[in-house]
Amino acid sequence: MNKNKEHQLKVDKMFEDQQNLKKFIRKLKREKASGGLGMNSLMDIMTILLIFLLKSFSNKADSIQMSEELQLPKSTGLLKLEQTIKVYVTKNSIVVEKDPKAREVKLQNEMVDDADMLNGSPETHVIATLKDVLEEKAEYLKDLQRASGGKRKFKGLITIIADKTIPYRVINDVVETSSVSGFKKIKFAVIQGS
Amino acid sequence: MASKSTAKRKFAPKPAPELNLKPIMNLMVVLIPMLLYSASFIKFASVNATKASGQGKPKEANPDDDPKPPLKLMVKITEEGFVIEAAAILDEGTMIATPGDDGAAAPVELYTIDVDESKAETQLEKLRAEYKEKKKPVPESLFDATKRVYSYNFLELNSKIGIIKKAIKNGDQQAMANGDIQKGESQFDKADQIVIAAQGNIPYELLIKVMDTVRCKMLTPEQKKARKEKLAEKKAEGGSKIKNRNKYGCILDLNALGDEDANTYYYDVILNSKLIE
Repeated sequence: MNKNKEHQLKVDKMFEDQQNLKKFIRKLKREKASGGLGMNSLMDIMTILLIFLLKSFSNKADSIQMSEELQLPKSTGLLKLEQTIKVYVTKNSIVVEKDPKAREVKLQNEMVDDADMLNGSPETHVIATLKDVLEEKAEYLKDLQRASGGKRKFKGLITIIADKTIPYRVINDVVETSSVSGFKKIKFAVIQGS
Repeated sequence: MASKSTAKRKFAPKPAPELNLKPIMNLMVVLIPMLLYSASFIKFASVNATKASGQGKPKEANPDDDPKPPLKLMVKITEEGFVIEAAAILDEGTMIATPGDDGAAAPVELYTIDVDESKAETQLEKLRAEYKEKKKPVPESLFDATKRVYSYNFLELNSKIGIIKKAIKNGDQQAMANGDIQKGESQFDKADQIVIAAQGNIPYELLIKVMDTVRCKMLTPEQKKARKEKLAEKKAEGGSKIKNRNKYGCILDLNALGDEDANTYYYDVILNSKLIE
């Protein structure tokens, strides 16, 4: 008799458990259907981050892309970079602005080939191709000054962005060439630090 | 009862359909790390220089028009070290112009500062520590390049340049007392310019370092330490942002360290048009 009652209790309990489990499963299913994650707040964060990042990119017109071939030296100077004509002197080429049309001068063993020099002579210290490109740019900037009524003055500023291992010989050639082409004030791009 | 319940269900506002934002989320998750990765947190600056005008020979000026002797201060960078030249000599803390044979002042060697490999040790130690953190051996080319640049004695060059600057000032004060020059003028022509000349194989990094050196007063290791302590003190007091360099990179708070040469801007850099052979 006692045994029978015990059995009945057990069966009841099992039934209850089963009912509970069913309820639980149903609850789970319902929750899953409603989407679960609060995606909206995350989206807000992401959107703001994205806009912020994009904006910080847009006003970095003066930033310089460094690479294996172009490692800038460090300097204690804090003068700002200006919007000027830029000459990139990497380990294997000299190029004005990162313009695909611009003719680049190849460097071999960190030397400018004699054939690239004005009149084919290294004594001139003037790189012929670079001189042509820079003279065009100077002409354009002078035209701009005339057209704007002197508002956009041609200051003869040029920024030289060179790799830190480049020998002075090449730097001197670039400086000489730009000074011959009308750019007399030179700014060397550096990384802040010491 | 049943019909009421169905009616209720019929007219109950349906939950708004959720937008499927998963593709956009995917896009964002990819875009943001990409942008963050390519964002550079390096600050760029520039160092100014001018090209020496005229090839070789300087323009012959009328001595009557311009009675001031040119200073012609020059730093030569060679494989062996620095050489400082000027068309004047140092005499008891005063610069005196040296008239040359034909009126044009002849440059005289004032100081020679030799390369000292032991100077590079601190910088090399830094480099080693940096690569140890990365768990990579230091690339040989980088090691050699660093050693080459930092073997030069910049501190010595800076102090000598400072001595010359002071001597020019002394001379100017004397000349001013004698009534030879006006206030704010110098007895020398182009007294605030320095010409840098270098051998062809000197690396660009060294050129920039020399330009930094001749521009402003540099700190000795003791001064550096004292300054660090001073800055830490200030920070503890609550001065959050301390501007400690001017735009040329000259340190502004040297006065506090009792250095009378504090924040003097030394020289404008002119690049020589010829290489040293």
